[in-house]
Amino acid sequence: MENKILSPILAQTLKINTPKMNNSEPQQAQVVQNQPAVGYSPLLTQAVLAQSKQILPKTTQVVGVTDAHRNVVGYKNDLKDMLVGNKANILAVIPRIMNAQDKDGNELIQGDEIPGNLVNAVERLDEIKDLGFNTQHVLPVHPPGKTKAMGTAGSLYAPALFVEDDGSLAIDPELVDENPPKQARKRIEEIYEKRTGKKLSKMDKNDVNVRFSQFAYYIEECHKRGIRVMLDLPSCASVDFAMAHPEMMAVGPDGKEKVPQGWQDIRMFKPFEDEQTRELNQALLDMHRKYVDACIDLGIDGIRADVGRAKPVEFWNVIIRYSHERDPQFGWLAETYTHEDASPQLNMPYDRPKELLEVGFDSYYGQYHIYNDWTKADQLYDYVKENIDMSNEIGRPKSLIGSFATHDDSSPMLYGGAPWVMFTTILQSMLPQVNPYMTDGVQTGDYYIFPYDHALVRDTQTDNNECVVHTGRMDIFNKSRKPGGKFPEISNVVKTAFSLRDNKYNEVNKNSSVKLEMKNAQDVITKGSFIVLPTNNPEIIAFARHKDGKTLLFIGNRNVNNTVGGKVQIPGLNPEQKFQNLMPNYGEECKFQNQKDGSVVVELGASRACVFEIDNKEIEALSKKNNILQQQYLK
Amino acid sequence: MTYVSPLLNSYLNNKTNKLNHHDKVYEDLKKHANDVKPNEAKAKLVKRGPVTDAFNAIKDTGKDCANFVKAVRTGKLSDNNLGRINDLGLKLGAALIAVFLAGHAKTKTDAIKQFVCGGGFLAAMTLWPKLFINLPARLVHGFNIDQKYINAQGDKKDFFLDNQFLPWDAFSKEELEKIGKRTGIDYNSENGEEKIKRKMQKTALQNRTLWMATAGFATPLGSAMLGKAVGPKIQEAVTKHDFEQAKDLLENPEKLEAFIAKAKPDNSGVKALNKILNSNNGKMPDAKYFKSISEKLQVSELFPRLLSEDESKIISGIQSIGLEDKLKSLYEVNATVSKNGLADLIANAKLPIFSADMLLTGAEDVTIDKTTATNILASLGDNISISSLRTLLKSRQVADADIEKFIATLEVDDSSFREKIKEFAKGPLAQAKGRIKAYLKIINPIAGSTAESMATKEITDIMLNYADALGIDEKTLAKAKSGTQDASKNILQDLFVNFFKKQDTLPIDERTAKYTELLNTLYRSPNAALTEAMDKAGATENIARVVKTDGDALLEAILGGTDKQVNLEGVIKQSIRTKKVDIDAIRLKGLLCANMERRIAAGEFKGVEDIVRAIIYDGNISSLNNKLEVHEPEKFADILKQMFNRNAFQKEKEVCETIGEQVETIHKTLFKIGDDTVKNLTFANFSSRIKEILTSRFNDKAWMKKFGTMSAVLVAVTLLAQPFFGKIKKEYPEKTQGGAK
Repeated sequence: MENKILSPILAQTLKINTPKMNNSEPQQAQVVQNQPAVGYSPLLTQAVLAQSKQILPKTTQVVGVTDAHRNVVGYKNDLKDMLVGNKANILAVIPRIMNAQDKDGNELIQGDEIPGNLVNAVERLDEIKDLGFNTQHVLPVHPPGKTKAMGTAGSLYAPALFVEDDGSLAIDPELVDENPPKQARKRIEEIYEKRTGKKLSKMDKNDVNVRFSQFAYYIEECHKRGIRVMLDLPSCASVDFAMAHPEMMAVGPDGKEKVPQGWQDIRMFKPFEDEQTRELNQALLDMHRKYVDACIDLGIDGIRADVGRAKPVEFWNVIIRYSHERDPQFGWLAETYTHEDASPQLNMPYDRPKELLEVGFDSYYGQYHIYNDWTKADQLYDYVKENIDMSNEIGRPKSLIGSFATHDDSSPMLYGGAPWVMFTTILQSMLPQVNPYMTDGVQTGDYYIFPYDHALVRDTQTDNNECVVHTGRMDIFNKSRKPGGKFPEISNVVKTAFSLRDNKYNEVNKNSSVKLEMKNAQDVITKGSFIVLPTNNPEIIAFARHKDGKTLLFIGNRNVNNTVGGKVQIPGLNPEQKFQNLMPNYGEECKFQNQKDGSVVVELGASRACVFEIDNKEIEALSKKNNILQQQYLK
Repeated sequence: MTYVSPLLNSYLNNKTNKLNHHDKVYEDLKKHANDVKPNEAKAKLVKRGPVTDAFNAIKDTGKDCANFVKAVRTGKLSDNNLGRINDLGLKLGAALIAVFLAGHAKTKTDAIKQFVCGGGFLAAMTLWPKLFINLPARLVHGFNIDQKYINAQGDKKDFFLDNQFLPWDAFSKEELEKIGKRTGIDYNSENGEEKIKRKMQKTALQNRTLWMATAGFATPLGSAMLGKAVGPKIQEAVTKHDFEQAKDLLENPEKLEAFIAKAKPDNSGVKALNKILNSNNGKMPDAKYFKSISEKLQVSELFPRLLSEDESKIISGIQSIGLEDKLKSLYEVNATVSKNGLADLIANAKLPIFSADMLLTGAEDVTIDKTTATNILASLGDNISISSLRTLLKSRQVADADIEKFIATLEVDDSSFREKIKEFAKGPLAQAKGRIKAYLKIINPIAGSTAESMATKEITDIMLNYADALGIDEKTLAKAKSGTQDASKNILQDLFVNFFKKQDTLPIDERTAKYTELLNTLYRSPNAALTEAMDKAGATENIARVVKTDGDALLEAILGGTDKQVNLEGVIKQSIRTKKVDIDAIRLKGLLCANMERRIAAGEFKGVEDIVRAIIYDGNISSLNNKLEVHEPEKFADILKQMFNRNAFQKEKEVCETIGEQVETIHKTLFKIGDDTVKNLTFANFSSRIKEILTSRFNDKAWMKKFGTMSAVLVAVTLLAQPFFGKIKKEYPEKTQGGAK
């Protein structure tokens, strides 16, 4: 459908709704798509359209909803609402390995082996959707720097370029599929032609429009499956970028670039022109504005800001608000942990999650990645309370992701194997204020142990021949094999847990003998109160989620090695209540015995987590006030 | 061309401006970027000063205790507070160790030193960085490198603890500016704030490194020097305190009475005694048995624990008079044999009865038959005491040897005897021991030989006075340390001889004046308080409270009865008297030696100078056995008479009026010519004692010199390092223009 312009006056005359940009601004011309240009007369309509073509430049600054959004019927970006509403189920993916084909089994993609790219990644989307993921955190896709690089492909977080000269997003040419399948090729060509007005003759990876088109294609395919796309915005730049753009780079008093501690291949941006007056660095700001524009143009639904604290609140105050001007539902996830000095790093400003949330971020990482250290249930509850309190203080709902294992953490398999992954999956699916999150591969138990760890290879795309790897973590430095492990049963748990969150439990678990009675488990989980249930064993995690008389119960064993037993007090528990686990069983057996006195005696296998629907309308009224937490301002 | 209304046309032509709406929005947002401000830092610097520091230290320790309790109860504690419990453990551990060591210390001084030195160690650990690193750093660089801050979680932490992470927003702009001025960096210059921060960071890191490098030396040095410095002062204080307490008791009879009365009975040795008592096998025991019991009932064993070895040897001379006999008598009175079958036993024993008539008439041996035995036993009860049986048999003319033989065969029930002895040991004897111990607690601070007695102090002071008066320097000290007893004798001798040699060149008046001066420096007046206390300690009425027996025969026997030579009273008096004489002798020694050397220098004692010197310096007369005494005892006696002639001490009398009489006393009471055992108490171990004292002094001086030098060097290096800290490399001239480097 061609772009059509309708003047507001005419639109008003013709009684056609047009989106308003800003209440204080005069009505502007807008692009309205998928609307037939209903004219008073066909002649008039044609005249208007012909005139508009003459006036508008060929490369249109797209305003409002983009092609990629519009091209998927029924799709609307709602990532912001998803994040603050705790409804996003997020999978972190790396396009350059997502569907890589390792033929020789050394887990490193070399020679004629096929790396992951933006087209073959689409082949995995059905699988991802099937599990219940509705959001992707796409790790950086920019061309990595080659100088003083880490790894043979360059770090994803050391981009050599953010935005092309034409304002489009800088995309790594290595992500281009030069020989896509027919169906994909067709769509890519369409996108290309629409963008450039020219026919696509060759999938030339050096053509920025080809890269744009392939990425747009990927995003479209995600949207078709109801998967939102959140792109990772690196906090720093590569040495190559720093050399080319010194005006944006931070320098110490000794004239040396600032390097974040532990990351020798990247250089820090200089967010302030004058730190004393807190005047922002305009070049940096402008580049990020262009970056946001480029993302929105591509149809990207939101940004995950790498090391959110690397830039000050003033910076985000501009960029986030700008993004909402363009797309009110553009979502923002901050990589920020907790407390100002909990994660100290040389050359990095202090972590201030609350500040970042107040200035516009919708969600943040939080500290679930140190959950391994919380051996007692109270530590978890205290943290839940801390976050709910913070969100309530801010006055608008804010959320976290289930950052039990991110790409910066070791695979959870190394801590407690498949049962532990299943435990944390179920747990994060049930916690309040949490959008479940995992990295690609964890859903089948990937240990992220690569045999080429620190090996020297001949072929490299950077100045480094060493396959630098952070053992136990996703490889962000080399072209590694497709993520995945040997524990498909984890996927089963993921699917079941997400189905509960998405009100699809009975549909997804058709063959299960356990049926969910409540109609809206999603509301209970995403909006319900969080009720701590007293136990006599600190290793037993027991809490209830309750809303409008509906109650879901979580009981789990935090111990990865041993079976634990104990008693859980459940105020208002029906003496006849039966306990039927909604989650798949795994590992060692669990036993539950209703004591008919408001408590249940449990015996839980190592890392076992169980969820029950219980008939208990009075649980909130009968529980101690101190044990009840409620996130407010949720819509 | 398609017709378009002018209105529409106009609108469309102006649309280009409207298309930059987002640019306008963006520009507008940029203008208002600073409408938001970062949240205020939650980290707050802790303000400090000497008073607040002390207060905070106490408060923090209290918090640590509370956190420890919380951690034990709930298992909840932050990492920072968990780490702080280590400090609490350090302090508590130090205190507990001090308590344990103090409990096992031999002297009060040692016990107190455990706390002082333990506390000194902790104080050195704290004060070293405060005084020699933090304070100079503050003066030189203008900021506190030990700055504390309270973080968002309410934990107090060191600001510069982690050099990789410094919560700089706890410092205000004004504070940084002030520090910048001090260090010569203009806050408002390019990168001024950053430069100031870097300098502070580097300075703090270097100082903390210096602290780590020096603490290992400074802390033990500091605490050792403290211990060395305060040790003698503690000892002096303890000595004085205990002496005054003892004196007070002796001067107040009621107090003394009460003190001794409330003395705890001493049950030591009861277990061992019981073992011996129970070792008898139901027969009449032999002499060895009673000897063993007797040994366990002695009181002299108390003394080695409380007095020196010398005195314990003296005190052990308390001889229990007839204790074994008394024990045996008691045994026989209390041990019984059963009457049942005794007549048969007597008859079967065929105890020969002796009568004068039989001797005359030549009658054959007659023994007590059963009938006789039955008759003689009739008047007695069922259980007959050994003594009664003995009496009975004796009355029948049975010889003692036969009686002994017979009794040895009998089954004896001595439980009553054992009970009586046990009760005695736990009762009167334990109380007597308690009283003796209590009294020794009074004697010791006055006249004991431990380091904490006034007598010892007096002797040490006198000897140190000699050392000072004679100008004993390090060389002589070294000689004293490395030499034997002979060496120390020679030191004094050399000094005196040299003194008089120098006199030769002087006119008589000057010689006299110099000699008088020497005597004045050598002589030390008697310590009247000490003398009085010693007299009181040896007074009969005071000792009587201790040695009272209340008529208990056993106790009397144990304490030596009325024989003043060997009974407890006598022995206590003797030991005190001996100590008095010792002190006097040592006090006069200087004058005696000066007198002898003067007379030798004047030509007296020609040919026997060696003997005179041997007597006066070493006093070990037994070594002279080979020289004179044995071969010519009369000549030896003459020499002694000449030496200790009171009239030869006129010069010395000007300094010490009574020296004449005292010299004679010494001569008379302590030299027993012709005795096999020649007592030389006057000069008892003078050589070894002064050598010991001088050696200790030498060691102390050498020690202080060595470690004092080390400390001084450490302090100097630490202080001098300060101006070199915090130097930042100059900026690269080409700085930032070239891009990444």
